[in-house]
Amino acid sequence: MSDDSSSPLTTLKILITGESGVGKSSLMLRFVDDVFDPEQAATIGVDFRVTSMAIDGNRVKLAIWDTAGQERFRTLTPNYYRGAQGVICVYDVTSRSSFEKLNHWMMEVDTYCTSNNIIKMVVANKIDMMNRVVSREEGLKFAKRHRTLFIEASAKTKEGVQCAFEELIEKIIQTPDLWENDRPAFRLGDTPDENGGGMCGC
Amino acid sequence: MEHESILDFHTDADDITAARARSVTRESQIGLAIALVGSENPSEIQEGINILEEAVKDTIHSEDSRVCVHYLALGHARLQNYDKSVHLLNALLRTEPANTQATELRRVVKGKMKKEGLVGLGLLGGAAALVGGLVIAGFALKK
Repeated sequence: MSDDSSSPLTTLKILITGESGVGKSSLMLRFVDDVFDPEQAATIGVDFRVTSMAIDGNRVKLAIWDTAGQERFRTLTPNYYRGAQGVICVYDVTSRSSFEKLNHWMMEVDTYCTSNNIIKMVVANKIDMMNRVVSREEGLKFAKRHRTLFIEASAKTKEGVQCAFEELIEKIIQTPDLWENDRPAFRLGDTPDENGGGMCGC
Repeated sequence: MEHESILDFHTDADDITAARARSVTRESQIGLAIALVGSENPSEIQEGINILEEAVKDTIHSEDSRVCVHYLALGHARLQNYDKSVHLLNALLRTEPANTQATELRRVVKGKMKKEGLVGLGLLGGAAALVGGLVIAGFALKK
């Protein structure tokens, strides 16, 4: 997918939140490992995966934090948010209550995130299901009101999953304030290729 | 700090203090243990393990056992008791084979075991080479 031998432009911390059972882990595992388990067990505390992706020819390392939706694990919430550049709030299109709870999750982001311009995305999951109760328009309206990115997806069929992460990462990269402090001032790797160029004049 | 795995996740001292203040019910005791397992201080990690070992004995709340066993495995891994950690994760995976968190943690722990085992061997190898070198030097001097 991307060239693992080159050093990454930056490492981004992405958080996934939302009600229990909306498919946060399924979205992450579809994106990172390209797998789907319909019987995915409830996350204990927080899950964590590292992956990388190429954006505009640059390799970006991603640390994805998949938080448990269950209330009992929320004591460590502030820890999860520290240093995050992007947050994905997930709801389930077949569960109105999971959509209504989005307000709560957005509030949590605003309370705990440590950078003012953190990029937020709302993901409407499970669009493969027949019993949808939340329309695309409702989701879009919510996202507009809260100035977040919005994508409809299905971890089961893969639809929208790659696209969601790509769009979020692209938006973060376009907001250098969020990540440029981590970047080494100059990177030798950025100079024209020394090994395979074939244009060397000597 | 850059995180490579869930083992690098730490709880803040403030969060541990807050969890201590709340730890009255069984539920909040487990919450405290979860916070302690993430501590930078090994004695606090051990304290968390002790609470979890008590909690896991309580069979009335068997739904808690996967949570307790998971954090026991995490705690032992952070104290570098890798064998114990893998043993617990194997037990967890026997009842819940599709548990991706346990599978991933086991992979990380086994990686650590291998890496730190090799480092240990490397040190031993180095010591052996040193002793060997001294013996050879001794011989050379005798001659």
